[in-house]
Amino acid sequence: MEVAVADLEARFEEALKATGVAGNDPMFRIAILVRRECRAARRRIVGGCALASVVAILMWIGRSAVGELLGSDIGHPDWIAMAAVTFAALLTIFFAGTPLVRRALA
Amino acid sequence: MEDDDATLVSGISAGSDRAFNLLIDRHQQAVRSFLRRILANAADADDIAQEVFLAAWTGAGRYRGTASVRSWLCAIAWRRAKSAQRSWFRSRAREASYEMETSRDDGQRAPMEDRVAVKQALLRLPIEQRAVAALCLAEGFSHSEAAGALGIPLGTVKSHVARGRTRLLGALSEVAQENSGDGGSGGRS
Repeated sequence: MEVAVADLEARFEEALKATGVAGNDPMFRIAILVRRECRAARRRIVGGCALASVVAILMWIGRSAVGELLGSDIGHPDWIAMAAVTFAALLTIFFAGTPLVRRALA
Repeated sequence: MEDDDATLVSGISAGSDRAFNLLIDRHQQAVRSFLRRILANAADADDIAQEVFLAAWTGAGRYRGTASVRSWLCAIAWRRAKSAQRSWFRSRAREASYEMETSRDDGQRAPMEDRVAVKQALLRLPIEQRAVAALCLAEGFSHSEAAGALGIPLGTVKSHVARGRTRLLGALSEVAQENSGDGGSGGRS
């Protein structure tokens, strides 16, 4: 009876150990490093775009203020360029935040 | 030179890739095993384990050194597993429970039926009891270490260990009885 209990305990220890992983998987570490790099890249992209859009908006406001003060027109090409930069930045922020792009980057 | 875990964590908070790699190599087995024992799906467990190490990378500065690094990582794993279970795991766990049994590494010494019986019995335990059993019975955590990692009282850990062990042994003894009824081979492979 004692032998049976001891055998059961031994089997239990082995079976419980076997429900985990047997050893280290080098691919697991690589997957983490890749994930970390993708996350950092995504953060850089989003951060850069946010910064670009803030700069563009501030330039826009600044130039409007200067234009108002001086009472002169800054000229269409500048306005169009700044509007394009802002639009592109906002568009990138929007798409970088969507699940599709997040999945592609992660 | 062999760095201790606390040195590795301080290295990680300083941005050392080498320390991070060493930490992963040193603790991936414990974290992945813990998560595989408390979650039904192996792929999801590994996914959360990766998140745990990423959280350790970004939150290394918050490690206070009051518990072991292994406990700290398992505490992060536990919090993430619980929140995952609350959301999308709930629906996936049932359909994935079979997959877990078939995706085990080969070369294990325990017979398949024993592993399946113990794994299924584990999954039938309440999640907190399962986590305690995984840490104390399988990973060799002390009761107080497990209590710290899971954030539950020591007395609760002790009772969970006792109950969990009884239930897991019961499941295994049923398999043993079935096997002896089938011809007494014991089911060893």
